[in-house]
Amino acid sequence: MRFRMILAVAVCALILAACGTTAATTAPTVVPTASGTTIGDLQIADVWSRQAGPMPDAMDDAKPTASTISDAKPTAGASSMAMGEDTGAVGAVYLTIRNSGSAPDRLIKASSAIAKNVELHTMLLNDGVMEMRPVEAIDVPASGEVALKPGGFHVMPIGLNKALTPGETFDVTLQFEKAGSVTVQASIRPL
Amino acid sequence: MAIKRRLFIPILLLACLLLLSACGSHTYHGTVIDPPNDATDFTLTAHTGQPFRLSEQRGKVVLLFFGFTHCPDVCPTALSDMAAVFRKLGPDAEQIQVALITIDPERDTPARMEKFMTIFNPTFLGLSGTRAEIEPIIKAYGVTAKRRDLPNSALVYTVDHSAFTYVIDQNGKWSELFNPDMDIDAMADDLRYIVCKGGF
Repeated sequence: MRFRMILAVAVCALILAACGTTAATTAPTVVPTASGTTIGDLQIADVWSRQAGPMPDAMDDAKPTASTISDAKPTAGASSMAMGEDTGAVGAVYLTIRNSGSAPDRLIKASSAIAKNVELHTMLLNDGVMEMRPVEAIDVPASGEVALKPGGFHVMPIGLNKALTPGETFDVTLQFEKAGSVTVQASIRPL
Repeated sequence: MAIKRRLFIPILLLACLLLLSACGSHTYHGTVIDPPNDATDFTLTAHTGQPFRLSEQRGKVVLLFFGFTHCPDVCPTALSDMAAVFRKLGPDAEQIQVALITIDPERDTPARMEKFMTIFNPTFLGLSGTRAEIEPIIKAYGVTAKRRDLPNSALVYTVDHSAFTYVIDQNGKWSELFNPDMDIDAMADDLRYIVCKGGF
């Protein structure tokens, strides 16, 4: 009887431990499948990108204007930013996040070695006027999905370190509030 | 034989109708400006370094965009859609000039515009100038272009702007607006007709 009790407690402890660790504190569990990359309850699919602006060497053409830079986020790329307001080449990354879990999650950060900065943005269309705005997070509904696509949410690399060549790929790390971080591969499509 | 004779007259009538309207009848897919406006003339600097005067483009259809090179999403979408329309139109595309007027002249130098435009199609032109040159054009075409500072973004600022494409026909008449969500086939359809007819 006592043995059974101990066994039950041990099993319970194991179960608790299994659920208790969060992906944020451990290495991300990446399970690539044919239809996308899975982390926890989230499945990330159709990750693609394209160049959205001039090639990186366009920065050389920028006229130095020593204004408003102090407002910009301090980053590793701050030295090149000091040249002027020109932020170099930009791109956009699009993807679909499916959530099979019963709790909502949020995409809170994206990063990549491809650019000095990576931000989360959205586009709004108001009476034919397009407005781009940075967003703090992109909500992923419970048992649902959110699509980052042209004309809506996008991950925006700012200050590309190299041109985005169609056919090539690059890594983007996505950080979710609950599911933790996961690195996915964005394939570059032609314009 | 009897069937053939019975068919002869309808076929003749159909052939006459086709000859009368070689370009076919057409319903425009975009927003039609009725009556068409005379497109306000302007001169700006193309990314090639050459001056670009709108009135010198008579004989060509001019598609005017207003945008900026730090626009990550809508501007590239509009321009890559237009590049796709050009591929669809084939030789008809030679009768069309695409031009993007920057609404961010402080950042969009001709050199930066060149790098932006040539990604899409080698014939597309990026037009820039001084703020004083561009403001009156923005006003004349009723374009919304509002600078918004983005203190938490590496972009520093963005420009909210109208996402319409202005269709100016071979006679310098601004006659249609392409809406931002118009699809490639619809735009190609309208342009093919305008090129065929020699005007809106």
